[in-house]
Amino acid sequence: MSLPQANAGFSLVEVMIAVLILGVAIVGLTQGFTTALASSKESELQATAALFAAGQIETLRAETGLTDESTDGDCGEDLPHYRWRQTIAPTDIAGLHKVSVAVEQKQSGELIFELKTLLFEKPAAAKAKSTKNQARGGGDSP
Amino acid sequence: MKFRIKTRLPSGFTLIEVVIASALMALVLVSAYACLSAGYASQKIIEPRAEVIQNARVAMALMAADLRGACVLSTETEFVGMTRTLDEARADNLDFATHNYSPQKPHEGDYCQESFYVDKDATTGHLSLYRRRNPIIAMDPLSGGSREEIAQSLRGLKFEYYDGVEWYDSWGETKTSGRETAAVKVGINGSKSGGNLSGLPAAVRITLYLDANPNRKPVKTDAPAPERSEPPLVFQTVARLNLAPAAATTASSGASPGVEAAGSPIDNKP
Repeated sequence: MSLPQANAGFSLVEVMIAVLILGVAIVGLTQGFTTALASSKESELQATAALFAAGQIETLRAETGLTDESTDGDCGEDLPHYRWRQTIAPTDIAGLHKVSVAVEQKQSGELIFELKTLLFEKPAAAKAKSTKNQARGGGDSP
Repeated sequence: MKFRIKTRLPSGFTLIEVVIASALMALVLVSAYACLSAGYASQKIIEPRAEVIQNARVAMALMAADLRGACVLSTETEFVGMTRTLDEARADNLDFATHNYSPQKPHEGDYCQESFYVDKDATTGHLSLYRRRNPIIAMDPLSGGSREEIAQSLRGLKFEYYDGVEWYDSWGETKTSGRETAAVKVGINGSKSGGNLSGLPAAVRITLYLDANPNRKPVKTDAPAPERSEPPLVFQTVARLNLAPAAATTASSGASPGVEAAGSPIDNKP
């Protein structure tokens, strides 16, 4: 009466391997979709931040007077999930400023995009201009 | 013994085994289908978004390049930016002239009269952003030429103008508003009647609101609420008008001396 082989089912190892393979396949599939969605969002963030950072540097060029300082602010009501940080530092050459604009996510503070450039302003006029700018209360971005 | 062997030999599946096996199979198939449909759904979300982002970058680059080479349109209308609304969406328009134009026919120079405006697409009913360019110096600088669509499925377009100190919602209009009269007080403006901002702005900020999913099936008119639920994709950049300082210095020579005394910051730019 002892016939253990005849009606033997799957062994525990077999079942576990089967479940493991199925699990890996499903996790891989969902991982693929999540990555696709995340990279789509990332590309949106990058595009927005790159445009904004370029605009910030254009604004600096349109403004009068570059003061060597670090400033930060929000990106306005149209872009509520972003904030910017900007640093203007002097270089060895008088009148030449090293400008760096970073755009970050507001909630996480994660850096999305950073743009660095050099801006030149006539050194003789620069000082008079920056003081005038401060007196008028201008110079800070809205 | 014989009876027993006979019953053992044709060993098939019992009913319970078949039911359990098919139930498991159904479970696996359903989950596989769920995975695939999720993949398809995410593809349907991602593809139009990626396209919209790409289109927005192109439209932004086109507008910024033209604005960087902007110059005065004519003696009466130099640079006009008006605030408008179309279908409850901000749909500003802008009229100016630009040097960012390659001549294509004889008697054309690197100059064209240009407008950006939002209009309804006749076939889809969505808002589109159009660029009008007229390389011939026309009698009416605000019309003529040919138009081309540079962005589709707009949810809004906003232009803001920077005079070196402050940002304004409109530029060069004859209507007076509180902000514009404030500009007169600062002394940026000449003594033009109505106190509108004249000349070229130092920079223009462009904000583009695009529909995140333009290929969405048109929703029935009785349920417009879910259609508007998805937030638009917003892109913003600033274009500096590189020729504005040159235009300001030539203009200020003919303007009242009060302009120079006030010290327009545009003039101070190296």
